[in-house]
Amino acid sequence: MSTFNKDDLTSLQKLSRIKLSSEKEGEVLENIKKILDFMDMLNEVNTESIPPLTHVVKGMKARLADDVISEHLEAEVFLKGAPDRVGAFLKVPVVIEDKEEI
Amino acid sequence: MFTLPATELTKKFKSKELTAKEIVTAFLKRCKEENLGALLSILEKTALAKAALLDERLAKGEVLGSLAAVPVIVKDNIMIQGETLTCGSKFLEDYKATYTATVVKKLEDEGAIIIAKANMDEFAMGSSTEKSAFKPCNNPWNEKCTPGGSSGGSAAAVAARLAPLSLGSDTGGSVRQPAAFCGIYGFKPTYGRISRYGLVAFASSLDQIGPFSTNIDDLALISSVINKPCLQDSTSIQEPPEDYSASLSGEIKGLKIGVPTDMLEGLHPDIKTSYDTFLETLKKKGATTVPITLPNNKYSVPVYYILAPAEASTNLARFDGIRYTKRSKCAKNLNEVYELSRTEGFGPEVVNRILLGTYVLSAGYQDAYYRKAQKVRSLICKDYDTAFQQCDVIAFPTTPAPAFVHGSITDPLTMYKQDIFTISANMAGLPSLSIPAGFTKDGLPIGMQVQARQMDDGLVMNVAKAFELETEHFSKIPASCGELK
Repeated sequence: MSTFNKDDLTSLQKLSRIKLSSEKEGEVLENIKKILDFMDMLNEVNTESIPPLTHVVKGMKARLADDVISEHLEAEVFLKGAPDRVGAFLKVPVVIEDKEEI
Repeated sequence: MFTLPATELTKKFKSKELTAKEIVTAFLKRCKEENLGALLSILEKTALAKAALLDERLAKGEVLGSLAAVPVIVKDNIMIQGETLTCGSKFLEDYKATYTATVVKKLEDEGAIIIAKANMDEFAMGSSTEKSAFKPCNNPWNEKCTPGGSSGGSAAAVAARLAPLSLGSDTGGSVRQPAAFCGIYGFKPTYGRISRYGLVAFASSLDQIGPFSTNIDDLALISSVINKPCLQDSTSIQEPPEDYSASLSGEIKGLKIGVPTDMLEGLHPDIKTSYDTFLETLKKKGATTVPITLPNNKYSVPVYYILAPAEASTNLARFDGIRYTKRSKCAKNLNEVYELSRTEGFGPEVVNRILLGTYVLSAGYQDAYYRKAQKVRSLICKDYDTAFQQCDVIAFPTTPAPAFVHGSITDPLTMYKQDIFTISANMAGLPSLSIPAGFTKDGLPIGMQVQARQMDDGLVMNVAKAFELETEHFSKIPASCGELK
């Protein structure tokens, strides 16, 4: 049985930058617990000497691109989708307050 | 016109029996009138402009591509520059794609015309297309049922003859399961065979773009057009493209078909009957069956629901309220920009999976869940290696049961188990095709799945060809389509 609890869910919300409403929290907690319990069936598989699979295509090597200029995304095109901007920069709320003591 | 295969439609255009404008106008009209919920946007203006251009080029005597004037619908997680790209999510409701996916470029290079974007479960997370943030999609064979998912819109659209071809994406069965539910072909190619540049990433070690069609010749044609190496996708296989149409002889004498005897319990009775008929039909064409086992397949669902959410939780970190259109109006500082934008933007299933994925990757749990799942994934692949020492392809039903009624599955875990037969092909990167193979007594479509070794995509299609030559299931059209001319 999974030990997943309300504190875990609170910490996950911080890590994933998502805030659940208090009424949603109970439902999500139950869902995640149920899913984690289901995943416990993997414990019956002996994987002691089994390597983890990291790439599914056998023999595929990381490929380096030639160092030539090719088609690329113009900043202006990309920035059109941004919710807020100043010139060629994305604009976000103040990160560091402008205080004299700093 | 609506029942013509893409191969015929393009011939009629090239022989000047039909103009591109006539073809595109007729299909656009069907798209505008559809009431299944299959589409999220219709690209009328650009489609008509492209049709006019093709008509001009034909009049000048130019040689046009293999899909010239063929209307195609693409899932709304595939980018077309300047067009909306919602991924079925409120988060991207107003977003316009900044570049065009390689698959779309390849289709357009051959003269295909993209006429609409298809409905989908939000960020491709779902098996019913009920999790679209905009509207659910119905199954054209029975509107009370779902079309499957997450590419349910693309599947319903082709089944309802809104276009002869469409594209979806398949991370754990999201092309094949809706194809089975909607009575059409749906193909997940070998991992890396089709470029994913311009596909919004969900779980990158599993995602593949795949086509839908009503007949195998069309499927081979569109697959031949899009299976090209792509420098912009680092997982793209750099082998020369294949012409799958050339491998469609329908000749399968001596082919060994693996029957996974340990996976066939609990099948819907009509699907079991259909499976037996499927194998018998292929045997009559000269194939033989070999019993095999895939003992670790039963773990594929828990493995998938660790790995896919883990990858999704990192892939979806980019939706932060800074770069892609939506930002919470209530956010007063940077942390709130992230937190409130994500909370308002993502639907409940996406939130579930992000939280789950974050958990299985978090310190203290990574070894128990993520690493363990990667190891069991190795075993699932090993099972296939062993099986393919005894057979050339493996065949079993695409789904254990036919399309389910809207709202009948509310528990996420029960929904996840719908993918029990489709996930393993993504785990092992194999080509896998769902073939229309009959109907239940209630008139719902049944799909059979054929899988093969990596890069044997053409072989899988040829098995389908052999079956299609002996049957007529593929040519049936849902009654909801009305009379088609």
